[in-house]
Amino acid sequence: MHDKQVAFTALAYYVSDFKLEENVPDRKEFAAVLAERHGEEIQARIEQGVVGVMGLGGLGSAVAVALVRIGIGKLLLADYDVVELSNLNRQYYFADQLGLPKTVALRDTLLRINPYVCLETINERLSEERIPLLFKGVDVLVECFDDPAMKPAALRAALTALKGVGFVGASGMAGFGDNNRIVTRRIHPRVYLVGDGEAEVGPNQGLMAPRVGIAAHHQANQALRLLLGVDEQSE
Amino acid sequence: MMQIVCNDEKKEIRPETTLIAFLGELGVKPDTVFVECNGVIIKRDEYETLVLPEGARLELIRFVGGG
Repeated sequence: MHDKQVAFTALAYYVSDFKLEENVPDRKEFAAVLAERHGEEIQARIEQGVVGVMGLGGLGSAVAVALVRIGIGKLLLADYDVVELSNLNRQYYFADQLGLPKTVALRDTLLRINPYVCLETINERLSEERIPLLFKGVDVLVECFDDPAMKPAALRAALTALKGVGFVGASGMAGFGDNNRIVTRRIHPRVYLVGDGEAEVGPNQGLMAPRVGIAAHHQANQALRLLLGVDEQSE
Repeated sequence: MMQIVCNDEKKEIRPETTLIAFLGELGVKPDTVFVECNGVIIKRDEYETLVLPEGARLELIRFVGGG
């Protein structure tokens, strides 16, 4: 409760600086342009889509931006952390957002991309037990955690307590290794894992925007495919 | 010794080997691995007590940090 109040205050202050309401096309214009670009039927399905993003770091922030750009219906954004200088090498934040909760900073950025997107933020450290409670009802859940223990925990939560929900996890995208070793593989119906499976953060192998971005966009496209009813391994 | 199958590979283990002991032998950190045994998802707090049955089919998915 306390966190939410802090977050809300920061958002109200921060967003008001941008005066989002001025000179922004209305909701119908946004929708029309997206439908024209993407195809009406496809866009109608995207607009119905509800996606949960767990962890708003290098993966999650980029996944959220990609999904908002294509006109996703609703995003649930979860993170407990604040924006730090060390995040800016790969995460979708700005130097003037240092110190803000990531949920607040990202919500602000996403609303600048599309002021009409429906966003819900969850400012807490997630756990295996909390995930099914918070994300029940989403169409697709995207696991973007940094912590290697939360990755299998999220997969267990999805497979045992969120049956039928699409799931896109990630593991192994540090450094500057081969682009094409980042793959998307299907491990269960509607459950996918992205990454090379092994490139861990270590000496001379940091997380860097290019390769984390490749993995993030694999995740975003897989989430989109699930929303559009495609459930097969990409070639 | 008895046989199990781990990620499609045959492995010899001693009878009464727990999952946590088996993961230790593989050098896998238990908190970072997802485990299915004979098609059943194993909860993290069962790793210490689960004794691998003869012929068990284990599916392990190892995760590395970073995101």
